Amino acid sequence: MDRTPSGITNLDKLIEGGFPKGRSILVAGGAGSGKTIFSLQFLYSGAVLYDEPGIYVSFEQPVDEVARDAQRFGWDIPDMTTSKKLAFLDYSQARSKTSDVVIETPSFNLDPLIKAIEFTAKEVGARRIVLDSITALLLQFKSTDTVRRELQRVSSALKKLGCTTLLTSEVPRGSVGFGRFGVEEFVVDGVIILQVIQKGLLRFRCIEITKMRGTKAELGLRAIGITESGITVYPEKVYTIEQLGI
Amino acid sequence: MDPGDGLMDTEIRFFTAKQCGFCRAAKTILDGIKQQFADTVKIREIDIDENPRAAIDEGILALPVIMIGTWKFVGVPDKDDILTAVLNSFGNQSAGSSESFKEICQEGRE
Repeated sequence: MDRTPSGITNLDKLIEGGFPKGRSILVAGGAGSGKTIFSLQFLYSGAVLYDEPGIYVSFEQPVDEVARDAQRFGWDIPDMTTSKKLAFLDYSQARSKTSDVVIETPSFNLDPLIKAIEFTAKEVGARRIVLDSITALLLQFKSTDTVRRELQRVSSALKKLGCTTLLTSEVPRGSVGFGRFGVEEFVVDGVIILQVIQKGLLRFRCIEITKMRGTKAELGLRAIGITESGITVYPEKVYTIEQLGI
Repeated sequence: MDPGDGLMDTEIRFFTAKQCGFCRAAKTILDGIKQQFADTVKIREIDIDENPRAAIDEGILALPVIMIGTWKFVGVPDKDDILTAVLNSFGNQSAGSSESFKEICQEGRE
């Protein structure tokens, strides 16, 4: 199976060299667990190291904020967008809130989102896509059943594009699932969980690969760190349940 | 004084696509509104297949979407809600709420 290098330092050692090419992977985690850094690192390294242009679709944070936050890791987003190595689609709530009155009925589809991704993918020749976050996408609508159904269509459309896609999802504190809406894990081929586990006064950043179709993934909670160059996985540092007290 | 005096055209922006079934239902409702208000209401159809950039620039995620002033409708709308938005846009234009404006509102509701 062809692989897409993740760009996350040392992660590929755990997943046979990278994500299965052309597949969708869910990156789930609580607030502040590093989902956005993870997905930006995937896109930026794809563009810089592997000549694979990418698209970042934001449903939560305005893209200028995302670009500003990326600077601390030395990722020059404006330079990448100018050279058409990266493209950004901004559907953040702050941006779309231009209407005083919004009236919604459940009879709609998400075709404009699909079209926008297809159009932009063609413009930049995208090989990688990030949707950050599908939780925020679902929260933009009242008719969550319709959005759930449409999410399946979006996922199928992304597969047809042949791009390797990361979808992020926010896991509420104390939840045992992979997202708020219980649909997230069913539209993807792989699931990665990012966690910050607290034991006493100490906090441990961890990563766990719970599903990766077509891949013999290394199981277990492994330590990660957010360094000045992004996320680094420490493959040898496996946390046991006893260590973490969970 | 004509009933339409002092009122500018109201533009309804309608994001649609040929293959979108819900959009056809929404269009039927808009056609009814257009008939009711004749030249005072202008409907601008934006086909996202022909003009994907317009939908991206407006941050449109779903279809159909209808925008009337600062009102936004997602999905097939109720005709009365569209009517309220149109009348509201007239109201915003005629701050004095003249007799002619009241006449138009009444005609619209009938």
